[in-house]
Amino acid sequence: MLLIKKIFLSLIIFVASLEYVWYQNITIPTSPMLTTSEKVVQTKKVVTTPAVFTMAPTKHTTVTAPRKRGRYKNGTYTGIAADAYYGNVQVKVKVRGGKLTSVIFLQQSGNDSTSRYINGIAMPQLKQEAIQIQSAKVSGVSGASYTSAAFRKSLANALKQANNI
Amino acid sequence: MQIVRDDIMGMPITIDIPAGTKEAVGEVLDYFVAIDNRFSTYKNESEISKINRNEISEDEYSNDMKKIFMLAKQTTKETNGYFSIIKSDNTIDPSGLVKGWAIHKAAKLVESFGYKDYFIDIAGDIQSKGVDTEGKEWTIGIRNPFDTTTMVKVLAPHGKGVATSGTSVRGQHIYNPHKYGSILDDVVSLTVIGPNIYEADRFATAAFAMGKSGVAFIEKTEGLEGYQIDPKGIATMTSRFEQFVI
Repeated sequence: MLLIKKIFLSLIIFVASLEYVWYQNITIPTSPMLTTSEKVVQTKKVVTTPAVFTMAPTKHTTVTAPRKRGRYKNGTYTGIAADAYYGNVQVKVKVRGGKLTSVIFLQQSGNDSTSRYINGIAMPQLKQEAIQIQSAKVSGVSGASYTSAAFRKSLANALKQANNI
Repeated sequence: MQIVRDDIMGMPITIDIPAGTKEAVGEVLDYFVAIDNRFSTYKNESEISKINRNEISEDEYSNDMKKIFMLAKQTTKETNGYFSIIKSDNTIDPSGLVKGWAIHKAAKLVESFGYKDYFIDIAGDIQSKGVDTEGKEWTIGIRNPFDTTTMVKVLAPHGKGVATSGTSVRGQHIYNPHKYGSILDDVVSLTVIGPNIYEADRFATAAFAMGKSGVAFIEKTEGLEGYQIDPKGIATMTSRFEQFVI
C-alpha cells in the first residue's frame, strides 16, 4: 500500500514538474555529448565516477533559454535529491554563458570503486561496476534510453535555481 | 551489402550481408514487411488487430500466429508469468516476442541462401554471425541509457544473439505483469546475450519486468548472460558475461 502511495505521489510530482518544465519551455536534453567522467566528492560519502553529460550548443541542441523568464544565471546548481522509491536521484548542473553546459548525475550510495562483489541471500554473487563511457567503432548498438520522474524532478529543480526570475 | 531502413516495423532496421546480393537483402526486408503486416498492433488490418477485435476465430489463425501464441505460452511458463503478451486491457500484444523471433527466422533465411556472415539489427536486437567486410568479428555497443549518443560497453558476441530491454526511446514503460499499474524504475537497461536473438529477446523482456532480480534470473538460466544497469549508473553482470567484453 505504502509503495503504491509513493508511486502515486511521485507521479503527481512528476506531472507537476513536467508542467513546470513545459511552462519554462525547457526540453530535457536528449542528445548531450559525453566528456570524460569526473569524480564528485560529497561530504563524508565517497561517490563513484558519476555519469557526466556535457551539452555543446550544436544544431541539435535541445536546451533553450526560457522565453518568458530570461536566460539561466551562470553557476553550478545542485538539484534536490528526488525520491524514486528505490533511493534518491540527484543532479548537479553547470551553466555557462547563460546555457546549460553539463548535467552531472550524482550517485548517493557507497559504491566507491569501479567494481565490487555483492553478497545476497537470494541473489547470487554478481560483480558490479560503475558504467564507463567507451569509445570504439562498432557494427551496431543495443540499448534503451532513460529519463525517470526523479531525474526530471532533480533536473527541473536545479534549472529553477539557475533561472534569474 | 548493407541496407538501413527506418520505414518498416516503425523501428530502424540494419541488414548487413557482406557477400550478399541485393536480392538476398531484399528478401529479408520483404520478410520483415510481412511480419509487420501480420503482427503490428498499430496496423488496423493486421491479423493481430483483427484478433483483438474478435473478427477472427481461433481456427482461422495463421500458422505463424498459432506458433507465436504457443511460444508466448511457453515463455510465460518459463518466466513464472513475468513474460506475458496479454496486456492490462486484455488485448494481445506479441511484440515482445515477435521481434526476436522474426530476426531469428530471418537469420535462418540468410543461412539458407548459403551466407555464413551476416548482421541483422532491428532497433538494437541483433543477430550476427561470422565477420564483417573487413574480416573482423561483428561488435556491438551497449548504449548508455543516460546519454544515447554514447556507449558503456563494447561486446563481441561471437555469433550469439544480443537484446536489450529498457525504457524505450519513445518513453514507454514496461510493466510488471504481476502488478499492473506499477511502473518499473529500478532497472533502466538490461542487456541479454543468448544462444540466438529469439532467446535473448524473450528473456530480456521478461527479466526486465522482474526489476532488480532480473539479472539474477539471467544468471540462473542456462545459456544466458546479462548486464543490468540501475538508475544510478551501477551495472550488475552475470558471472560469465565478461567473456563477451572487448
